[in-house]
Amino acid sequence: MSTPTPLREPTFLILTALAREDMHGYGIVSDVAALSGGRLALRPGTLYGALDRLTDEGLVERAHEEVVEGRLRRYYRLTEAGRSVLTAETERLRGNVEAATQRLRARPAGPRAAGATSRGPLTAVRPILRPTGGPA
Amino acid sequence: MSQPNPAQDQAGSPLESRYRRLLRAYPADYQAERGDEIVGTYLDTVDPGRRWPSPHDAADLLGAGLRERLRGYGALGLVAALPLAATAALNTLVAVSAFLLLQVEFEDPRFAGLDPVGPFQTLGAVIWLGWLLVALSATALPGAWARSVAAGGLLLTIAVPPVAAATGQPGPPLFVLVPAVALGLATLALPSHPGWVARSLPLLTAGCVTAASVAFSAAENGGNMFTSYGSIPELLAMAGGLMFALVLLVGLGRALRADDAGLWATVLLATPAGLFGANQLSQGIWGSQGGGPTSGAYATTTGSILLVGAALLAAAIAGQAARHQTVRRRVLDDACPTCGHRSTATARA
Repeated sequence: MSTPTPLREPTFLILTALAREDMHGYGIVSDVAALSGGRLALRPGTLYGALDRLTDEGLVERAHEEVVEGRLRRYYRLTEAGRSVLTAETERLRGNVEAATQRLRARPAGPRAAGATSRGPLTAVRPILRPTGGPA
Repeated sequence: MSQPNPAQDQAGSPLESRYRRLLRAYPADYQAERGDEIVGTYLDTVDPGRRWPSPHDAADLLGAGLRERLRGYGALGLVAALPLAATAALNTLVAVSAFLLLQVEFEDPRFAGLDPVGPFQTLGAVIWLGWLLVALSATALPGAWARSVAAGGLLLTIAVPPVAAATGQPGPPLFVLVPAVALGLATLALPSHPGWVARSLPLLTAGCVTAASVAFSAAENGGNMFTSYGSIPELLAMAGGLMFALVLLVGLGRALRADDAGLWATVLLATPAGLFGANQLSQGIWGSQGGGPTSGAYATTTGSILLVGAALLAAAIAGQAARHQTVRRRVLDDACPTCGHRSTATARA
């Protein structure tokens, strides 16, 4: 199984957590929670499954290990391939963000302004209801 | 979660022992290699004073352990197949529910010789309405919420027979309920982020079956082909066969793109499809008594279908594991003909 493109959010955040420095499991869990604003709480079973998969795909590798207060800490690091994948995904997301930002800036100031140009200033603007997931 | 819990607080604690017991879900060699690391990380993250793993922790470790075992067999496609199997199961349940509601439950109760339950023939109407509600939630709600509603539909399906027995109200027969429970179990794996096809299908299915039922009633012109649950075993067997055939078609299509998830979904749904035909099969093998199989014959046939389904799944995993081992051995044994390099990337897998 290869890493799907675009990356799923947990995978993206695990790679992002490892981009700055080598980390052990607890460090990755904490960093992913911080990066996602507390929205994504990885559990260790899921985390190590993801690390195994990323290791098999050559995006992550084991760095070193140590025993702290009797507890094993195994550190993981991003490989060059992992850095390339993360860079490519970051560029892809940046492109999406820039496109969305430009569209939002190009939009007229608000519904009142749009209504004023097409229907005159006193015309009531009805909300447009669309089914969930439909085109905006 | 900025600082890990002090190690001395939990070393050798009941909580650590309980996490280690859950680790048994993993293959033995994986436990030996990674067990300390996984349990250590759990102990770092849990609230101080906790004595038992939370249900979410237990589900995480059991699920991860199962995935690791399947990964060792090269059968991770089975995990990838679950959302597809769940979607197929839900749509089959929706089709059956809409049909049974319109063609059986709303029929004149005198046909079945039962005391009516309000406007319906039996309490089964509650189950079928419940699954139509699940269809609505799968269309409109986020995937995780739809799974919760599906769990509610499953509980309702399981709860109605004892409630019917306790209150003396008529309920739907077992040959309808058993496959409904099997499909309901499959719906617990509904996708977290369904695409527009998965979102549209349940309501589309319900709409098509409703339209077909209304058209059929009109075409009957006063006749009544389906009057009670006793008149639908053949149709249920056909529904099971149709579901199996459609999933197999999807599976073969995906297999052409080197994606085996559809074929695994076919294996997973073989058992519910078989259960839809259990009544007919029982009558074919053991004969009928009063228009249907005896309880013993139906139980024997259902048990046999469950055993055959489990054996089929086990055989598919074993076959995949053997194939995976052969490929791995070849990759590890063969050196590159150009440079002589031997791969080490898969040595751990």
